[in-house]
Amino acid sequence: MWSYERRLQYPVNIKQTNPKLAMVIMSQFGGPDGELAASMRYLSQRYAMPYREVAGVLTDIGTEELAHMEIVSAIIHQLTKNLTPEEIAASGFDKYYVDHTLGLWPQAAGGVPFTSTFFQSKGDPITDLTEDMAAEQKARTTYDNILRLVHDHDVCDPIRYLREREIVHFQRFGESLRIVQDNLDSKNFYAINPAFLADKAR
Amino acid sequence: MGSEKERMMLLRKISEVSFAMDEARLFLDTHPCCEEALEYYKNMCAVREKLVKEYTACYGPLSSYDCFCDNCWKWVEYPWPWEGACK
Repeated sequence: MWSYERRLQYPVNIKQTNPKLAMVIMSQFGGPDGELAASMRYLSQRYAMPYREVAGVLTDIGTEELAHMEIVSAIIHQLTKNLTPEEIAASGFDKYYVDHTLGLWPQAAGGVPFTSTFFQSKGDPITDLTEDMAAEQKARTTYDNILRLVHDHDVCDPIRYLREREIVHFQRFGESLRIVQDNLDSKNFYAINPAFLADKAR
Repeated sequence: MGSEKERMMLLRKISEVSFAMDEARLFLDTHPCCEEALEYYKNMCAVREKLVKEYTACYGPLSSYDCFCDNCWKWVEYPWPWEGACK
């Protein structure tokens, strides 16, 4: 199970609202390389992971991604708090506002709703971990793209922190892939799927 | 009970030591026998326990498992972490 701790993993204290920026950062909440997709990806993949260390990595990174989703959500919430109708209309936030007012709903910056097709859970440890490493790099690129548009230190600071976590997670998934390969036939890693019983018995 | 500034400073210390543990935990998952990392995790755990105890006594629980109330449920009264500086 999970239990809630009443704190952010990294603090968010934004003093100046900016709905235009909130619209862009929203992609890291509900977009294709966002934190919600990351958490669901890793937590879903755990069940078909036969190696205990790697199931641990998936559990602990999947849990940390939930904390990152809360940080991104706090950024969006604080960037859009108490906006006036005039500010909403002038900033281009009106297209989001008409469906969600100032509530949070997971979508990409372009308005595409969150969907589980943003991630895969393939039931094959090499396939899943290769996806996970790519996912961390895609999220890192997205944060780089966001940072080029942000000039407010209060927003930059937590975004930089999240970007750094992508790099650390990439490293841990790289080690996880190595652990999986060390358990397989070094002449042919793809000879069997270690998560599939009929394959293992062959 | 300290000021809001003191509360934020203590919360920041808790977040720092918790992060040290979050980072070491991921490392230990793939390096389970690293003595240096095990020692580090143990030390950070002791620091964290002391700070969380102090915070809970002064400002209320971070976890609802530590929420004990006689007359009225206080869990919902404390500030939520996403509220931040923008009131």
